[in-house]
Amino acid sequence: MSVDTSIAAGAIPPGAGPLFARAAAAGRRDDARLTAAVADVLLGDERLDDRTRTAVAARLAATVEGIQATIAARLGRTAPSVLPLLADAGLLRDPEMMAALIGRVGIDLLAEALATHHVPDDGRALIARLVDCGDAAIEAAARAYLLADNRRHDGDLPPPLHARLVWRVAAALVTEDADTPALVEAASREASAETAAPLETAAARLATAIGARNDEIGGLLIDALAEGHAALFVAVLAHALALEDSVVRDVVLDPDGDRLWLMLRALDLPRETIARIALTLSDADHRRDIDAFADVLDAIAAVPAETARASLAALSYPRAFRDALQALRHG
Amino acid sequence: MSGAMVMAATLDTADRLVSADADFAALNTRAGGAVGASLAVPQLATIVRLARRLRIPVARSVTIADGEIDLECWVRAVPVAEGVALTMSPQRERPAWRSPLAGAAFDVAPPPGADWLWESDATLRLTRLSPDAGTRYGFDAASVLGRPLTRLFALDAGAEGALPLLEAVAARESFDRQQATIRESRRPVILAGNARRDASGEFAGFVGGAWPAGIADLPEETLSDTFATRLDAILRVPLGRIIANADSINAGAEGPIDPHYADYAADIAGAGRHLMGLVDDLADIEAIERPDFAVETETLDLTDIAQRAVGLLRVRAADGGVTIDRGDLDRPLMAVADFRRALQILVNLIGNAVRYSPRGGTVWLRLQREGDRAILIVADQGRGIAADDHERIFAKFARLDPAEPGGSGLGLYIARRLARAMGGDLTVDSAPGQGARFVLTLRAGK
Repeated sequence: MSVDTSIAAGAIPPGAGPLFARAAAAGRRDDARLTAAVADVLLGDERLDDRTRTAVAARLAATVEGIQATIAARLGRTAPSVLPLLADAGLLRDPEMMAALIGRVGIDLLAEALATHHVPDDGRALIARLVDCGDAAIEAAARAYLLADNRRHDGDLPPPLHARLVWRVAAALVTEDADTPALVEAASREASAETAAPLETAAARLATAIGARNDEIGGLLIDALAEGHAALFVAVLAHALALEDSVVRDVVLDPDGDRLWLMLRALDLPRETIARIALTLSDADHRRDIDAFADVLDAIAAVPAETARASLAALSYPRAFRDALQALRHG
Repeated sequence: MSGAMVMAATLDTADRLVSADADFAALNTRAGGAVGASLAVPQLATIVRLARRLRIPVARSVTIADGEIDLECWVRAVPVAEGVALTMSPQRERPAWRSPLAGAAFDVAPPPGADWLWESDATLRLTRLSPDAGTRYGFDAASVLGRPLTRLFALDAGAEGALPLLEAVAARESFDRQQATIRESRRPVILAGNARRDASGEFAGFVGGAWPAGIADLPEETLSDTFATRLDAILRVPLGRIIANADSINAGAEGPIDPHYADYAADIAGAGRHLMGLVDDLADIEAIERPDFAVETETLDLTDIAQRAVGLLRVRAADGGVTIDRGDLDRPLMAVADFRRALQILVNLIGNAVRYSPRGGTVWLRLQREGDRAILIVADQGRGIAADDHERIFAKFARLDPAEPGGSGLGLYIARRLARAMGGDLTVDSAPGQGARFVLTLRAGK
């Protein structure tokens, strides 16, 4: 074996520059990876379950790539996915956008699990009844809900968040030789495009159209949940309690159901209705402990509606106000 | 046990069995329970406890192991004043291959290759449509969702008035080849649907597909075309991933694992490779059975191809303690053939010979020219093949000994079809106990 002495010790041989650059970058990546791994290990129960994580990542990718494809089609050119670029720049670390995505995915997964466990009784399904109920407003809202439910995997974000993401994708598509004015024009059209109502919006409209009376809400909630219409369950509850959908959604998705039981008591729903809802949820989500719930069911049923409503008052404040309070407390 | 049968029992406020009909008592006793004690089947005890504590009816599908069989039962517990009333209807014996009831039972794939998809519930109301179906086929999706299927489709009777969809509903089974017309646009379509079952095993609707009428003497042709053209995507890619992951588990790539699991992973990888081989074979069959199948031939050195085939099989031969006697594999023998196909035939022939040779045995290769034919002979010392079986081994899925591991029974069928497509032939002469001699004949080249 001989040693090549033509290159001075310590000098980088010609052509090996990129190798050293990659090695240096790998060193930095190691640090980032370790930081992320430590955070992940210490998360405990706060960590998203793997199924939700995968589904959220897939939905995020589909949403970004869907927007990119639409813009690219308008410009008549293609480009490699901008997803890694946006992720590296931290533009996907947007709590509002991620909360919307995680909430949507959570509701979809819950709906799927509920539908899997659903056993139809002899009566007609809830939405089929509503589509034919004789009240034109409810019928139209029920059809719109079915259409939105049909499209629920398309990954649509609420309009302001959709527009925000469109501009980020567009910015990532800017290159030296790009026709930026044309890009801005294409993105602008996509950002303001009239997208079909997302599932949450359609569900909220249906809940409003139904305008269930107090004595109807229990049955409606049970049917919606049992038939896998998790988004409608959230919307009916939010409408009845006059709370924001996203607040109720997060409460419904929380496997520790205490706030949900209080919401149900705030509507003065009886023990049996609360028990049926808890059983349906626990059949669909094995993280929920139905035996622990049975231990406290009598205590839950004994909470006066007034007391339950008072305990939820903080949830009815505007989100911006609640976020600000939270920030000040944890300052 | 039939589906109509119902067993019943009552339990007191401490979940102890008070009374039961004969069938339930028998089942509970076989499981080790008795009157006055808690139910012996844990899943039943759970349902009873929940119904009593929540004070609401609880119904679930439960699989109960009773002796040799697994019974899928629909169980319902209703709280009553003095305890809980339990009823249980056996639905069916649980087939051994089914995964746990929940997700798997509900997750039915749509018919493959459909132009667009629809789903219905048990009352045949449309619950789902491919988003673009309405615009492409000229109907308003909003006005048909949630409505009976027949609002969207007018069903057309086939020959002899057959309506496959209605027959499928009656039998609660899947259907295909239902002719129909989209009412709004008058476009003819062909429908197929796979029956879906709910958690209790009851019919829960269809997961269906629609094809434009005309290209649709379906769905077999579509399935077959899909199979041929998308084989890579639908089978090779997932299989490749299974094999690669199983291999890396086996190699302990992600860290040390229990040797048992390493062995399981090796089994998975082995089975995956077997399936991959079968996929390759099926792809070949798909190609060679097409009426326009042709092989592009040129003049090649058969000796060179034989040497390469031997090289590919050297390790397997060494593992099996088999010697490959290459005889006169040093003189060129020109033949008219397609290089890849000829190599495929030789690997198959020599591979078989190695597999069926006893340890310490020899496989002989001989090449010779006879007139205008180039001939390659592969002879082994295996058990041989009875004269009656000489033709049968060239048939599709032919296996002389079904207990023999490995091989799909397609190799010789494919090899002979390929040899004939190149203007040659593949024959065998052998007798039991005498080993086998496979003779590949090709046109000689200049």
